[in-house]
Amino acid sequence: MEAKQRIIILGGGTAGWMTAAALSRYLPKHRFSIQLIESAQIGTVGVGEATIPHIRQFNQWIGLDEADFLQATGASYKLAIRFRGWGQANSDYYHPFGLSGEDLYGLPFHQHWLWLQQQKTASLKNYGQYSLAVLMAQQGKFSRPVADLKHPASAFNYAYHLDATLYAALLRQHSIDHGVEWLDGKVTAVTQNTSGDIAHLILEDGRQIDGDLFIDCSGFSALLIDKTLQTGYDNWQHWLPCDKALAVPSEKDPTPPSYTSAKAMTAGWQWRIPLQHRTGNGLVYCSSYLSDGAAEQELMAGLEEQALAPARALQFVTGRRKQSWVKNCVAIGLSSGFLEPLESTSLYLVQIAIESLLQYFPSNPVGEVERELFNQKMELEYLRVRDLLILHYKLNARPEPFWQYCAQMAVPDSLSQRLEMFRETGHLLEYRQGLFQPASWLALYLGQGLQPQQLDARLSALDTTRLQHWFSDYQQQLQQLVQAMPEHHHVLRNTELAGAAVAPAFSLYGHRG
Amino acid sequence: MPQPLVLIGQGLWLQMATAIVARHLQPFGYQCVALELPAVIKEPSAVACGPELATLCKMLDLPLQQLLQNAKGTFSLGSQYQSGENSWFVPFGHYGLNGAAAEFDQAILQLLQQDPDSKAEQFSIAASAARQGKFALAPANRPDLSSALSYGVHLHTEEFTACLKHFNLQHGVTFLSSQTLEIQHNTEGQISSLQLDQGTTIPVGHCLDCRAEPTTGVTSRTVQFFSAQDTTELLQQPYSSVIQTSWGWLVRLPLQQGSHWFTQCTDPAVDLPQIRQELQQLTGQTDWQHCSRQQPTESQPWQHNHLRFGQAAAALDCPLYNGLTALQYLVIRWLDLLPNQSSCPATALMYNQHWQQYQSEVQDFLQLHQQPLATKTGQAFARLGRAPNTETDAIKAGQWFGLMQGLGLKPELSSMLLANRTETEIHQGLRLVQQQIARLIAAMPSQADTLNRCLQQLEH
Ligand SMILES: Cc1cc2nc3c(=O)[nH]c(=O)nc-3n(C[C@H](O)[C@H](O)[C@H](O)COP(=O)(O)OP(=O)(O)OC[C@H]3O[C@@H](n4cnc5c(N)ncnc54)[C@H](O)[C@@H]3O)c2cc1C
Repeated sequence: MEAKQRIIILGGGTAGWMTAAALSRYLPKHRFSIQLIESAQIGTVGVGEATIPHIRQFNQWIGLDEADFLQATGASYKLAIRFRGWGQANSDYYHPFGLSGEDLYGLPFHQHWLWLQQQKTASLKNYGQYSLAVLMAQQGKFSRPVADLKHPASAFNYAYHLDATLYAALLRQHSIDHGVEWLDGKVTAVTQNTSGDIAHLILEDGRQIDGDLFIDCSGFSALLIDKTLQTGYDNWQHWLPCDKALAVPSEKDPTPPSYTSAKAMTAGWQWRIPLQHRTGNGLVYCSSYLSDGAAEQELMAGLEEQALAPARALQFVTGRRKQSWVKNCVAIGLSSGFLEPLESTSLYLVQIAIESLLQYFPSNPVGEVERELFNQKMELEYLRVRDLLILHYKLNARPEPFWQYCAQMAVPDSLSQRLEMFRETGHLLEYRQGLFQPASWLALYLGQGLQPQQLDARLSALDTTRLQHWFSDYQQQLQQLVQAMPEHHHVLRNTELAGAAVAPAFSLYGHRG
Repeated sequence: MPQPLVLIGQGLWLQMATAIVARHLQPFGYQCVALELPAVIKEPSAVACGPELATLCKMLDLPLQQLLQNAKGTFSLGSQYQSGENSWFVPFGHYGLNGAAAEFDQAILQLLQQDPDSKAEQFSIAASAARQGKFALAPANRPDLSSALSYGVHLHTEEFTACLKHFNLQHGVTFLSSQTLEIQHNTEGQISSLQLDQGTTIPVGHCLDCRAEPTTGVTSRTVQFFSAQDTTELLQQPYSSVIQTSWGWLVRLPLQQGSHWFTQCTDPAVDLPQIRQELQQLTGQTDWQHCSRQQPTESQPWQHNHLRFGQAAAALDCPLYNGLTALQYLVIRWLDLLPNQSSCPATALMYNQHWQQYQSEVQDFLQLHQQPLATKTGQAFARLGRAPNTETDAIKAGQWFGLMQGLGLKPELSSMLLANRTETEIHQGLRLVQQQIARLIAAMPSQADTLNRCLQQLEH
């Protein structure tokens, strides 16, 4: 009988418990043992409450029922992120989990929209008004997407706002039920063997935890991947200069919106995440441009409900661990890097890391091939999210010194080329690997006021009047669909609907995406 | 009125690019000009088109049946490989009946590991049908089958070209021809006009250059190309045959009457008489045509308003990968971005980067044929049984899997996503699919019947 492969997960934040839940679901108990160590004394980061639709796939993967999940985590539905003050102080746009319009005459919808805008079409509405998800979010409605690709309601998707602590607790119970051993203890020393692999962890009380594969979910402390293995960090603060956050819960909103709010502030931005039982708020800011005191004032003044606790301070360095998998240690979660939560992507990156770990699961000892494939995959995912985040900052004409710095900063080549291409022709080139597709890039470009110099050469041949009619009819059709939908807060209370089984769509934008 | 689009080149590639451009842009009032230049390289007598052609025909409104009839075409579900005693099938379609079935390929690999008598092709409807000489289009009420049964065609080059030219003329393309060509550039390096025989000058908005031969300044390598024709009728083979030789691979494309053989060698130290001898031994054919040609290795197709699609496609063109597929891709992707200005360097840069991705995926696939374990892709498969995550569909998922498992790469590690399933569960699941495939194939007509029916439809 072969000895079991021992998997040690260090950290019981969302990343640790998501990893434990997924591994215990897939790895057979007769071949693997899984232990998770966390320190109640240290605690978790306690934020991370806005998600993107992929979380539904994760929950389904590990066998969590949607109704149970909604109830246990106080979750609400999420259709978009609303960006106010980005680009210009008075801007207000949504980045929806959905597409806008339809392709017409073989050309993408946005080209027609830009064309009609150029023609100064009076009846033309804001770009977001041709997106079902945006209309639903604005009107406080919610319904699930449909699978019939001909139906406009197949072109959106949804995610959740969830209580991170309750989600971790739910995953913990789930993992323990599936055989994960849970230890409370603080790791004070790490021993490596001669190859450099981690051999065991020593806890404060003297216990020694031996393992074959170590998953570092120790959060910002990156105890194994960095403090022990000294992997190094790519610092991206020159592109994403915010380095601090304040988080504060406030009273619940009786009619919680189905979108996350991200409002640009003097030297950063403020989030608002509505849950069923409370609202999560926070300010992400750049400490070189805003003092901690001023930040707290700004945050508190911007709350829409009564605060329930004092604000909690967090510090971070945006960037990513040079390699997520080194020796026999795989970093997942904040230990592998930090991208600010502007697009709610951290839990997605956790999920992708878990999925890739399972796909490239190593033997004992670990092989170079799986390590390299995993690292390549994670690098690409991080870089593609990073570029979209930088875009939020770069494209702005705000007067504050922080924003002026951002407008003038040099950006990575991968982003400047993409940006320049849109400026030239109004066209985009999609990629297959990585999260954000043209619909997301467009929401930002157009929402933050980027105008292409030229459009597609074919547009001038089209009948503008017919186009205008099509646009009006389409918009009306969307409005009618939305009007017939139930209110978001009713849906949250209506467990029957909440429990209806819906297959997850594996894209940000729904079945059509 | 937009600036004219001028396509230059010769033969099949020029006609195909023109057909795509003309069909796309005619509704928008574009005037297309196709300039036919003398052929420098003789085109192969037959071509193997991948599944893109069926989609393209729909887009063009050009009945595939017509091409099959005029160009003596046959269907192809993929390629039957032969290497010494080993043979395997590389289908265009995916394995299993549900393309989205998680870890299906991994289940096959586990079975192959445990039962050496099993073969991956038992789980590919395309491979199983091909083996029995059967072919059918996926019925309209089974859209789920269309990607498992995705198919290409083999066509006679000359007739295929003639069909496309006819199509282009019908679509109002202006054809010009010239023995000579002088490209005039403006001070910014853009092509401003083309000068033809007797001083005729044509203005250019964009020049889509379909010429395959390398121009000065473009890196190239020498390729020895061999071809032969065979009169044996192979209607029972809805696939291409690929046979390993001492220098590479020999490909056979069956047409309605007879078949065509092609092979090429890039080794500069090649012994030509020996190749001829081996070819004769392998095929029984004595009449082999040989030519030595320069193959470009261009990777920046979009330069100013000059779209060097021919060279870019030619860089990949070989008997194992038809450059026409690459050319189609280049043209369609460019049309997606049709710019209003002759200079858009950032768009060109992004486009070229995307093309390099396509190119590297094809090259990776071709290199697997030479030394599978010298490639990262081969190593990853040999370790984990996983094909690469690709950015394009240059090579289909079924082709990656089919080729690598056929080449004998056996993964060291098995899928953890299946680890909780028992061997019996996995085998039962696979057997079920195998039975469904067998039932579907039992009701399938032979390729000859399907072909006849297609051609008859055309007559009515
Ligand atoms: C301001 C802010 C806002 C965010 N908002 C979002 C959002 O809206 N959406 C989103 O997806 N993500 C968001 N994130 C990211 C998200 O919070 C994290 O990705 C997620 O919570 C996972 O964190 P973690 O589990 O990696 O780390 P943590 O929650 O910090 O967990 C670390 C664990 O390691 C344990 N540990 C550490 N050291 C030791 C030791 N020596 N011994 C034993 N145990 C130890 C701790 O006890 C803890 O259990 C946000 C992050 C920040 C900073």
